[in-house]
Amino acid sequence: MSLHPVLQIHDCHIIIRDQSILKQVSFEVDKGRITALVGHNGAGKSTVMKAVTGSLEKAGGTISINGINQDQNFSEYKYQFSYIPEEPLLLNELTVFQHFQLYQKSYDIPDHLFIERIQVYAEAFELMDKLDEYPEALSKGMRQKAQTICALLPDVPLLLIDEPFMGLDVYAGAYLEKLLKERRDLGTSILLTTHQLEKVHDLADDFVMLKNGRVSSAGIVEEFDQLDRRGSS
Amino acid sequence: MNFSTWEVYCWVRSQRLQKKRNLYQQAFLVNFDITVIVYCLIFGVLLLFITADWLDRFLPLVESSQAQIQQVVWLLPAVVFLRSCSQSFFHSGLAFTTSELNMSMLPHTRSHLLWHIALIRGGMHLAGAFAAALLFGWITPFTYSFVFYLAAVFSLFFILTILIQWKLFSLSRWQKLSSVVTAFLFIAGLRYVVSALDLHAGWVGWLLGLVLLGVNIYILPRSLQGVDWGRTVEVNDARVWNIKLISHITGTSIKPPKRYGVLQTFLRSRRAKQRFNEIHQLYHRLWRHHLHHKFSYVWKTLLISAVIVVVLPAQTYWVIYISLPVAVYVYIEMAASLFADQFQEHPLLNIIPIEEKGWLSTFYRWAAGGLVILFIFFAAAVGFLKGFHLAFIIQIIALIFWSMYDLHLRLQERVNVVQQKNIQVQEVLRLCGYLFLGAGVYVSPVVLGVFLPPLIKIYLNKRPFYRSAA
Repeated sequence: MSLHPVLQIHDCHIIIRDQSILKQVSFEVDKGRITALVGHNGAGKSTVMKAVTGSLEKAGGTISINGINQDQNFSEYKYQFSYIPEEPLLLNELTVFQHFQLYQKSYDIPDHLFIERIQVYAEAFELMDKLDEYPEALSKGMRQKAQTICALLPDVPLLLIDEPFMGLDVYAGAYLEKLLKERRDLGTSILLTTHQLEKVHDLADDFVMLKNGRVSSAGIVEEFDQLDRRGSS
Repeated sequence: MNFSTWEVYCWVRSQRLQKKRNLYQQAFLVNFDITVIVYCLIFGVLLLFITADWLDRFLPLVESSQAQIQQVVWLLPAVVFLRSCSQSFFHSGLAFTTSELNMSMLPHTRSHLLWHIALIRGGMHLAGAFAAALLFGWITPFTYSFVFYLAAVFSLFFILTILIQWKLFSLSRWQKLSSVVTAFLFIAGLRYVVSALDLHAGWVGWLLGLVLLGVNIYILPRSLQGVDWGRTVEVNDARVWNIKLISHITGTSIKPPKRYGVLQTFLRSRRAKQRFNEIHQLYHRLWRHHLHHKFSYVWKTLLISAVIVVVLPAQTYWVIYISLPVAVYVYIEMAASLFADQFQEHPLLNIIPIEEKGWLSTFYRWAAGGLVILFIFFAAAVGFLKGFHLAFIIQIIALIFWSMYDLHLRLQERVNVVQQKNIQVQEVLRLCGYLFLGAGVYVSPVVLGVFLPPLIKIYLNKRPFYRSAA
């Protein structure tokens, strides 16, 4: 399979309150690959995610998805990814189903695909009886499930997932893992952050390790296994 | 080594104060000059001496007013009591925050913590009241005995109402309201009985004090029963960390999330949970909530518009030539800011693609609705001041056209900013439109000039080199 990069981060630099959080970060995520972004607490994993989503302003560097530059065509760029944050970002004004409707319209998801996916995902994530509830009436795990379904509704080239298994129960976690692999096989690229090293082994094809805001190593996941065994992580 | 609850609470409190002090210091250093502060302090002290000297001249007047105030001191307990009842609608009085709640998970009971908070609050108010009395007695010609007497009455009743406010806060709004009404009726009844029995008015205070003491004795063992901890902590967190200077300077206020009042209950009715048949319903829902959340800006904008379109021209009519364009401009800028705010406030709307057409058309309706009020203001001002005539019809048509057109452009401009698009803005044409609008109120045919900027824009867009530059 010929690999072509979907996400390209080049020389990305982020400064928050006069502190360099990311320093010359460069890496790529190839089409149909799952890349795990790993590193210690405070290494800059979530910052990378926020920079890719455009929530954080860059001090330098470029980010593009499918060749669409974040700085040059932001509105089109946003159609290239969907994001599952570590903490659910649901609106208090909308019920779970209404959130799905917002995603449907925002990503222009056809009706038949939307209904089909809602049925399948809500059933699998055991959210069927919570569809008409407001976020505050749900547990954190349920909110996380709702947010996960939102991000899985559109067919986008890149899925960004910050700590995907945080807050999910075992069954939901296993189902999400299966879904991510299916999406990958269909050609979706996935960038995820996780602290769970066994998930990196089971799920990821590639890894990027961050250390103090810099990329310390990157490669295929087998190389990560060797790093792990040497205790270098 | 075991620390007592008091020691731990004092330590946490001192750390909190230190953190707040650091924040205040930072805010001060950024915004004030040390030399200016020193000068202000010196002049402040001098001012106090001058005031004391100046007030001495009014000694006879103050002496007579002191006697008058003494006649109505009996009102002070009632005022303090009613004040605490009304304050219970907003906060519990005792700053039981998340930190205290977390401390209660350690071997420190909530009742002990509550006692310490109450003790410190009572003590601080006592010290504050007497310090204020001392200062007042020194500066003003009121006698020390009189001001200390007032401070003592205030402090006594303040302490007696601390627990009452705490308990009332966790009750429902209706229960609180009925408590306030009952308290008011009780005090009125007490006053009636005292005057009917021809007793000294001070008896009202004494009797109220006894009743409050009884209520406190009743509440004391029940102070932790039925407390809405979630709300208490939420409100107190916002109060404790709402550092006034920083809030003022940054123009932000940390308010506890609003509870669901009558409107919110309606907004969250079963009907509101229904799935949308049409996506515009969803956008309208989000705009309605957003505008409700930002209502203070909405009403202030409309009020300012009313003042500059109706009130100012009522004083001097020619002002309307300037005030009308200014009012339209202010309104549209504010509407555009509120529009962009929606996307900046919600992190979710930051990360998903924005379906421009739907968001724009739905907000346009809300903003246009507000503009109608502005048109009514203008019609009322012209009607009252000049009377309706043919020129007025031309003016109102031009006003409606220009306002709607400019609103459309501004919203498009803001959505471009949100979408980080680089689009050229034609400010000169906009300025011309507003000039025509203002001049058109003076010489009505000129108002037709507001149709020129859109026509020029269409013409410019047809020119290929200009289109590519834009």
